[in-house]
Amino acid sequence: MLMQVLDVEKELENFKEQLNLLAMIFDTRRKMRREIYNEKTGFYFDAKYQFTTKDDAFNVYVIFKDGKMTVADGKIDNPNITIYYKDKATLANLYNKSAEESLDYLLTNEMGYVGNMSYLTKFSYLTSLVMGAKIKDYKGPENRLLYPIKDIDHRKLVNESLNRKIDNVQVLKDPFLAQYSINDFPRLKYLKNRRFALKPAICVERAKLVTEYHKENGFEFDKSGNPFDPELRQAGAVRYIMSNKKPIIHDKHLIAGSTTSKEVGIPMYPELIATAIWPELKTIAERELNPNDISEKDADTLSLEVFPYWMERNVREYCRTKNNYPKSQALEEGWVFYFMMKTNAISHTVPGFPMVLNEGLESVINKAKKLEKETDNLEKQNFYKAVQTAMEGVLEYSMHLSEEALRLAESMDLNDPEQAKRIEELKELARICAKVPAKPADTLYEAIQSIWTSFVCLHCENANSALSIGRLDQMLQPFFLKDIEKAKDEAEKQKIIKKAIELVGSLFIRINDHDPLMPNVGWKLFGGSSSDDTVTVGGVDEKGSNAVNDMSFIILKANEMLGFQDPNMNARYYSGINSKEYLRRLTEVNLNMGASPSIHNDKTMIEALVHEGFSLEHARDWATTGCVEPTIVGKHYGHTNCMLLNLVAPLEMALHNGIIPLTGEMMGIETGDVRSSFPTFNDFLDAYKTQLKYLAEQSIEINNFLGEAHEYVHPTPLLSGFYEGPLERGKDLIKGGAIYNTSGVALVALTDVVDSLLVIRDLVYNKKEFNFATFFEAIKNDFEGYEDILNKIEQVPKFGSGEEGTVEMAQYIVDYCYTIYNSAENYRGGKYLVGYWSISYHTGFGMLTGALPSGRKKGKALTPGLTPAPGTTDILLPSIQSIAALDYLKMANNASYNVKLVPHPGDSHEKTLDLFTSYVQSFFDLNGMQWQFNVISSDTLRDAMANPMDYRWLLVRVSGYNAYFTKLNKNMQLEIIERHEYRPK
Amino acid sequence: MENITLLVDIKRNALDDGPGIRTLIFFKGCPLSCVWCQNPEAKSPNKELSFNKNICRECFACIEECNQNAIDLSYEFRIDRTKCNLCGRCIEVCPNSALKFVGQEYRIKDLVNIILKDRIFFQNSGGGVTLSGGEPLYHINYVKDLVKELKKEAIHICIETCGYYNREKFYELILPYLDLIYFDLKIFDSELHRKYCNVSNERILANFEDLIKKKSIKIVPRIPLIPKITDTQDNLSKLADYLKKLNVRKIILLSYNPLWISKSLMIGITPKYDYSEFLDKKNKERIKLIFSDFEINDF
Repeated sequence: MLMQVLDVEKELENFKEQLNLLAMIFDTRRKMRREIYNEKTGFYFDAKYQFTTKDDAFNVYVIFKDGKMTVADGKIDNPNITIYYKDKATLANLYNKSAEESLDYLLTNEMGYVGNMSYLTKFSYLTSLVMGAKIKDYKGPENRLLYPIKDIDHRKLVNESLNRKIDNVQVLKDPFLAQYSINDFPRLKYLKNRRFALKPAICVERAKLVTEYHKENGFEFDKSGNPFDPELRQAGAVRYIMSNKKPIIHDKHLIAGSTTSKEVGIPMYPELIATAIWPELKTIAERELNPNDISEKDADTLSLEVFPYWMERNVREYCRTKNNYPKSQALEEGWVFYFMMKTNAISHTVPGFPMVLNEGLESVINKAKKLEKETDNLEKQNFYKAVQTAMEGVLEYSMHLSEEALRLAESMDLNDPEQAKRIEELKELARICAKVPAKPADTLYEAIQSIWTSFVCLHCENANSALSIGRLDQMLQPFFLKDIEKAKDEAEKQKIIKKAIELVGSLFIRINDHDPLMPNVGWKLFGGSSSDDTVTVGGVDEKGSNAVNDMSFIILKANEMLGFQDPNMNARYYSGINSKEYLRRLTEVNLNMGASPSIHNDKTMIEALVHEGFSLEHARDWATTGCVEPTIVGKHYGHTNCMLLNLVAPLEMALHNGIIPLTGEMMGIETGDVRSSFPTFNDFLDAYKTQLKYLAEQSIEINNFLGEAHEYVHPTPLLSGFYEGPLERGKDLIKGGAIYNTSGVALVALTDVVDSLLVIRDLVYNKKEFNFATFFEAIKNDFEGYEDILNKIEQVPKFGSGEEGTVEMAQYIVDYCYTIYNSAENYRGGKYLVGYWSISYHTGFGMLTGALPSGRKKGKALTPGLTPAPGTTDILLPSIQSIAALDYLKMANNASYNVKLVPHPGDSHEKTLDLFTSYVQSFFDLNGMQWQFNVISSDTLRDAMANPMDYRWLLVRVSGYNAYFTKLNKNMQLEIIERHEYRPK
Repeated sequence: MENITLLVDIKRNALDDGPGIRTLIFFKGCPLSCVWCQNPEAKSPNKELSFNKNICRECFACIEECNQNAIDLSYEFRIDRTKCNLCGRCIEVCPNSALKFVGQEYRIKDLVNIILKDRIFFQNSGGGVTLSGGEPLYHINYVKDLVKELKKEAIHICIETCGYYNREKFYELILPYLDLIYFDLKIFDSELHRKYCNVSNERILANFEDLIKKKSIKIVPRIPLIPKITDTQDNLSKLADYLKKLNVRKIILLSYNPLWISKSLMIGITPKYDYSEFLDKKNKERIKLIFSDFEINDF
């Protein structure tokens, strides 16, 4: 013991010594000093750090000033950040862990911070430099090919054919397009294989440009020293990015333009979350899970020029300062309560691309110009100016693409037949980019290019987090029909159909040109998510008529052949209006894709939206955003993933009298000692409700604060120009300019809460098998030594069993959550809509959660989306019935039901389709909302864990979104394997 | 009206006993006694006590609880069945449910309610109910009322029978309500049939032929492939010839599953027949050849 204490003290001395060493290095090494004093820009890093322990037993502070670092014992006033460790021993143990790991310890509460998070990430980076972190083995600015370009997709696609027209199909004789395979499209095949071989690279282009612009033009104040109108500032920045962005047309691609300057790139948004990657700048290329390329030069650019500018000027820190570090933000940074997407992005929405195709962006500019003249309200004038400025940036970028196409064409050799072909393609691209998106599109090709150019530009403003394409089939069908009309004979018609498949496939390949920025801790906890650029097909049109058309099937075909994670494919199915054959085809694509598309019950979704006040016509024009959430195309700004709230955290707090066991800290409300305070089950239930209500209210508060921060730091004049509403109202989307202004909530792990409550009611109160004190001990001890209790828990009927009382308990909690959120208003004056899906947060939250009354052990994943716990029932039907029985009107932000259903190897394709289709149809007949099959067997998944190289193509549904299985962290892989696998037989 | 009977099990979401998604009802009791019976727990019409050695935690609470001294550790499978009076007290105290009753009583009304829960799945998949066992027609008075009730609800009904029924009664009380019959044909030779199934097969074959001639509903013969008993070249060829003569061209072959042996041991019956392998590829090919003129399932 004495020895240990001495060791701790010695290590603490070492820690101080290391700090002093760091200070010395700044003095002696120029390469290091530039991190705190940049001679080029004259930037001095001016900061105060306090290092302490929770018990205040150890205090050291660090000052950076005038290009020097000094270290001293004791406390300092007004530090930018206080970094505290659990106790001295923890500090002694942790201080020299790698920078990459540094954020991990926040999770376990071995360390924490109060203050500006960017200071923590910067400090971690500095430490990493001292410890010798260097970018190794870097072979150039281009993407490295991680793997050879070859066929890796092992799927055996099986296609039925259907030789008659169905739904609203006008042209396709076989809507299932069974005759085509990827081998008919060599270009798509090559580009697909190439995409799977590429290592994504961090792209600093946007970050650099946005910083340059603001350094030149100001942020808080404009050049003349007046407060800078956020709309004008943002519009200028966005235009600057677009007009200076490198116009790129990648070899062999049919669509011009790229999200980043890399072949597959990670765009950076320093005004949002980008500084979180700071500690890893030198190691990200080598990290184990999903490494990203970055050059030494780019890493330096970020650390020396970009990040320092944004340390205070990002949404998270602006919100913190403005609201004086609210408790609701501390809860967010406690990881286990809720996650607020607004610190990353607010992009979850569906812009009005149909307007772009039919009217062109010049019409938006003209409209804004006219409105600007008509108003004498200065704020509105500024907004209209901002829209025009931003839109002009799009047109500039598009012209640059056109010029680039010509330049490339001219650089090629007309006498080489291959190149001659490409020259023709490039000339056509040059023509198209000179026309759209400025003007309305006339052909399918123009329409697709117009969408993509707009999409690239929108990502110059909005982070790549589930900005969604919308109802692609509805948008494209008129252009497809127009093309077909020009066909002189059947052969030409067939050519146009084939071209349409290739063009859609080309768009999907382009959609895969960007990945989200993800710090290591993000991959560890969550992850696997792409940018989730979602496409929706099918359903009904605004009048309620069948909207499944030729393009619906063409899109499904392209999606199926490519097998990419993105676009996240979603299909609407209106039973009784859309054909059963269409549903059958959706099921077939799902079987071929492994985990996609996600199939939605159009009827319940529309009814749920109408219940929330959307007009029927508008509700019928919904498209999926992100994972599964509905957005009305071009009319609805509904940040559908504004938060994910962990329903289990309030349960843990109810069990621990307001304390969250992860940290042992009082975070909730004192509702009473569970061992003695709750004479009846309802008393305990009330305690849970109290904690839940408190947490939900806090989540609403911080979402509103962050929304207000966005209004200042990151308004969206460009995006606003793509909507109906902002121009009419003279208001940015972020200020409530859209016609509909909701916020979408995802509640995670309903099943775990319901099962826990069922167990408590049954065993503690009804049967009195043991008292709460005993049960509490068992839970605290992770049921170690309490196997009898676990056995009894196992016998209690849970949610999904179909037993009496189980659905009722779930409905009770759903009703309660609905009441809380429905009575709140967001910062844009809109409603909160509630949904039940979890992305991958059921795994992340699960890691941080102790044992639960449901018998779930400490650290295990919670249940994904809205799905019964594994082992609740051996048969699928009660599970389907239980989920479908919940009131869909109270889940307008949708729910995701994950079913791992593996076809029986002996069954024919036809029989499997019969069966799978009837499950979905039945689920929908029972008013279930959304269905996604995982059809990959656990054996295959285990094999993929052992041989990841062979399975890079393997897609699984996590909850709501697809992910490549081999890119997931181990916990998530295990969770998916452990999900209950229903096997026919 | 016999409105209560013993069932071994109700299996929802069954996919292999008739078209679509089905609820499979296992009746308890059978007039045959095949040595290989795949559901040995459904042979006796009486309630039985089963003991699963594999999940027993050896807490021996059952020994204390039993007032018949029927729990005897000197028996490998624990229970002295001559002493046990099926009072069920041992089941109550068993923490892991290693001890269980086989056979639960169901009233027609309750059974119908369980079945109707899944009606939507039947409708969408073309499924329904399959009566199996044991032998459902062993409980003809119960089944006649059950099928009447189910027909009122327009549920598709399939029956799996050993064929050893009273024809007159079956035609009068049951057949009008059925949609599909799976008719088991096991051994063509009457003597061997008696040897292995305890009864001769004349009545079964006569019932089958008459049913085929009647052409009232779809009848599919099923042949269990029991190694060395039914799957012999001789027996299968004879069955094939017999079916061809009757112009039957669609059959179901049931491959052998040795897991029945442990089920038999659990209810305290040491099997007389013991074959522990699954059907192998070579045999499968041989059998396919015998039935090459038939439409057969994947078995």
